[in-house]
Amino acid sequence: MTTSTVTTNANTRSRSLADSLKVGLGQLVVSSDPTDVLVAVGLGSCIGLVMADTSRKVAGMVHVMLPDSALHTSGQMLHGKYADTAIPALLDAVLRLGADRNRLVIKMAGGSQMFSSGSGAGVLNIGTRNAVAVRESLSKAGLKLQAAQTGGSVGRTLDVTVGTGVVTVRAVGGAAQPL
Amino acid sequence: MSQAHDEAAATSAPLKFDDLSALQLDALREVGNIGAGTAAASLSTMTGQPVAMGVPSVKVVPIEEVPDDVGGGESIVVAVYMQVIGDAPGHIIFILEADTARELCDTLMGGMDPGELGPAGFSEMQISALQEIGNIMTGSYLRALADLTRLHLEPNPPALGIDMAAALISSVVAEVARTVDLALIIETQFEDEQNPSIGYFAFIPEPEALGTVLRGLGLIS
Repeated sequence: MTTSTVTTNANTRSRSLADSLKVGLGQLVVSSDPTDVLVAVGLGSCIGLVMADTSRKVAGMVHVMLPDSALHTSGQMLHGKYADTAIPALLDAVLRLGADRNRLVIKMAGGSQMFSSGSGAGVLNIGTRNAVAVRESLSKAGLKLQAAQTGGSVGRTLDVTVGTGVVTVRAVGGAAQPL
Repeated sequence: MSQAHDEAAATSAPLKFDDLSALQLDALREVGNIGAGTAAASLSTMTGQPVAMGVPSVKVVPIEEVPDDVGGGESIVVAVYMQVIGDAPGHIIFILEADTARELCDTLMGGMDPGELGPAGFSEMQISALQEIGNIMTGSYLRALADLTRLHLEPNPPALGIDMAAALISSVVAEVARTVDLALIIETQFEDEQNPSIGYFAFIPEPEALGTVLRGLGLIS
């Protein structure tokens, strides 16, 4: 798999806002610049998943929208969009930047049910199924999840500081908490 | 690659977003105009105040850009989401800025004490009022859409969410993004004398429903 959506140091600068790199829906971003902060803003049913190796100062994040790529029809695919493809793609991308597979810290947040009734029923399934699919995909790759904050009915913002590997998550009305 | 969609393809070949003609885009814009116009009239009746509408627009947006396009981010909004089923499945979202939503509640409840506020800054009473407003607004939009296209469209009961805009919007976008990486959005802003953007309406048809909608409008045979 190619890593065309991977943001490398060369082009992170132009897109960065105070060293904060946004990981949009379906995107995959990796960095080896210690000052970079990767952030997924407003995760609802989506999952933000971080892989970080603090000793090598490499971190990456995917913003997973859906559990399964089987329904994908159009030619191009966002690498972070589906749980089954996002995990191998992110692993590949952080390893390419020099991360050590055995030192990876892996954390995730999201998978909420944002709408509680009626029309929200379909959305509920996606959030829950995303969390399940990400876990499956991790175990298929032989990777272990260290921490997770998923489910419930709140939106969350997840970030990781590349240099320290510190991951924080925050919900509406709350402060950022280390995950 | 395409065998998963053979069934849909048999009834109507999926229409590509970039194939849309200027005439078809105009017609879809008119859908937004009439749908949101009807909803704005309902809102105006409820509040006794005039509600104006911006010019509707039709956009084809890569899914990763939808939350930003809609004004996502972490700002707290009230969103009412209605799933549309029937001939042309799709999604209707009505979004109000938190401040606007509070003012609307005050207007409707005649300055009554709203009671204890929850974590997102709204009380139970305000939430039921907003749910009711959302039901009426999305219902008006859907009826206008069905009348205009002469299609059989039904609502799933609208659901309310109060949270970060991006979290609410992306959860709806995930529904349309199952098979494609682009979303067609028919959107309309609401405005009043002070504020150019007090609310937002969007209809996002499922990709396979686009052809049906255009056929309903008489623009493809």
